[in-house]
Amino acid sequence: MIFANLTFKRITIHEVFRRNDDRTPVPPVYGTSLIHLGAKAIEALRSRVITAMGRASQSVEMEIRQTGAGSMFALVQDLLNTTSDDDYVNKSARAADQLTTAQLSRKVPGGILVVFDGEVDHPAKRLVGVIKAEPQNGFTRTNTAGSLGLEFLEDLILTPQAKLYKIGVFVEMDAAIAAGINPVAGFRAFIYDDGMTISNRDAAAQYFYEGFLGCGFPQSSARLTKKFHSLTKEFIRDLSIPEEQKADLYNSLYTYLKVDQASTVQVDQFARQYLANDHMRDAYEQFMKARDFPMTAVPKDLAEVAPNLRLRKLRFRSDIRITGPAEKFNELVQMKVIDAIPVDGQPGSDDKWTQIVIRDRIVSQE
Amino acid sequence: MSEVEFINRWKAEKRLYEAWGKYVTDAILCRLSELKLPKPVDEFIKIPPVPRLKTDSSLLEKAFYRVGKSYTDPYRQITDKVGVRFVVLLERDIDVVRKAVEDHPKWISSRDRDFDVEREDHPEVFGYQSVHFVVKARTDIPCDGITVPADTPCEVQIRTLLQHAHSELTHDTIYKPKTNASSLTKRYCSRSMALIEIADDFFVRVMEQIDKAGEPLRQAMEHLASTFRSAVGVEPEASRLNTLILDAYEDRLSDVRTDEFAAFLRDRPYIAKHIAERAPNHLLFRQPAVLLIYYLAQAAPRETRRQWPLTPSELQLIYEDLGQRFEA
Repeated sequence: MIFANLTFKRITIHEVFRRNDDRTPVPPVYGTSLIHLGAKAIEALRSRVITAMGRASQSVEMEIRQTGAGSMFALVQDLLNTTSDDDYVNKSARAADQLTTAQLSRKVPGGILVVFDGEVDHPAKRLVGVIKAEPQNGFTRTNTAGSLGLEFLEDLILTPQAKLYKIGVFVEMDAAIAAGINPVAGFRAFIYDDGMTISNRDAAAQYFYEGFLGCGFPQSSARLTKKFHSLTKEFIRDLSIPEEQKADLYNSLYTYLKVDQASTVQVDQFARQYLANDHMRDAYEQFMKARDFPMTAVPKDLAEVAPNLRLRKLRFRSDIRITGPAEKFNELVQMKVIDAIPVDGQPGSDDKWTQIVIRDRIVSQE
Repeated sequence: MSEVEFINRWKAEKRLYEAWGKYVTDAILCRLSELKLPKPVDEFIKIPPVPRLKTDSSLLEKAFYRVGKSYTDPYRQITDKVGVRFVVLLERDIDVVRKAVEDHPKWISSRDRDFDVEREDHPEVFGYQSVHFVVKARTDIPCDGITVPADTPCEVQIRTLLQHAHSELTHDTIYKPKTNASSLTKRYCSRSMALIEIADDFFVRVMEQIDKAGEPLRQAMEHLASTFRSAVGVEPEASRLNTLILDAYEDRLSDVRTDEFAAFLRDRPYIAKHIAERAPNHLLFRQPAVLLIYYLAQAAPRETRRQWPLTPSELQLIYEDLGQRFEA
């Protein structure tokens, strides 16, 4: 997995604010030194990033679009090549400026911007990540001289409540290519934003992935969505479960792609919602992984898969076929596998037949 | 030697016998711990061996009043003034202790009583069974601040739990003729001893079955322990936790191919590094089974989580090391 063995090297924070009533930006407050965290805190921070980015997470791989001066990508390259800690702190403040500029709407709240670099995987790949953490409130208990009390905290950030943070990470996949004439080809960008995954690539989230990070939804989404459909179909076909259950799964696949409002498709999500047990879910994930399907979320784009979703088809060994519109198939066609009925006192065979009920009348025949 | 002289000498030398009894006990335990026993010595020996001195009265009774015993030099001839008993589970375990007692460089051992020999001589008798050794210091041995003179005896008894139970039941009444046991009582005792021999046979068969059933698990444990040693570079500390974890995943062991497992760890050197870092403060990371958990977490994260026998949060570090989202 890309995010295996995530380690942090340098961490800075800055604060950004909601725009003024007249929509003029409020200048950020810059952190002036590296943040040093204890082992437990590092573990927690790592946990937040993995929860958002790791295998089976809802992060989406995006295309890096803005690469010129003043872009996040340019800053990422710059930060990776900065050895001095002081320079790193100063340069990372530019991320806060960029976020302030990108937060055009008054609706966008302020928050803490964490900028970190580090490494993942083996052999190690360098990365730069940014987290925008919105504050929430909560309580902590105090214990002074044996007397328990409750203290109200107004600006808790980075609690496990993932709705309140957004993360973008740029991973240098190939240092040689990254140092060449087309450095962007040496990087991959992953973005996690809870707002982004809810419905149709919400404009509310756009400021983060597009305005701030300079990324866009990848061109390959339609191809990947189609691949998701065909691979999952293949997986269902090869399962050793009764045909009725397979029929249910084919219907689920249709529902997941066509009816479900989620803006992404994701292996883990399909597994959790529709597959019967952990054993099958793990097998499905292995199957998809072995065929190089991403373990993170993929933007749902039905352009290429749409023709395949129109019809549901059943075909029998005797070449009998039943075809129907996928969206009504489940409702109109009920099937059941039954034991073959012995004919003329022949000894019962262990063959199987199919009993089909179509809730409709015949309109024409040839 | 008069009764008074006898008891005075005994009172003067008690401490010395006490020291010798302790020395012998410790030396045998030490030898046992050097052997490759299937379990720790304190589990192999079923009742903690405590050297005991004979009480003054029972010593006097044995020396001067016991019917059928006539000692010429009772003080020297009574060799069980101090004794220690090793109780094991099975007859085959007796041999292990027997070997630890025989051929010890510090003492000369002689078999005082051996039920193997007794069975050979009297195959029709089912009586008291125990192995008795008398070990005598070969030279003067300094121990516990006093010198135990050469030739000081100590009795070492070795028996199984069942033999011990039989002995506890019968010893006072039958073999020390304070009260006369009836023929019927003796008959019952012989019957129960015969039953004990049969039971031991079955016990051994049970153990063989258990060993056979546990073989894949045992192999897995050994393999994991040696992998842990070489990959992490520290000695694992397999506790009950290790067994608990392996038991929970027993059905998955057959899916793990050793070459794939080795390749998995080779491709991810950070796993061994993380384990080594956490081992000092975290019992889980000293268990060889933790390596297996990494492997299974990668191969089948959901199933692995479902089968996890401890609190789920213990798995979080492992999953996140692997870059895998973990829902708490």
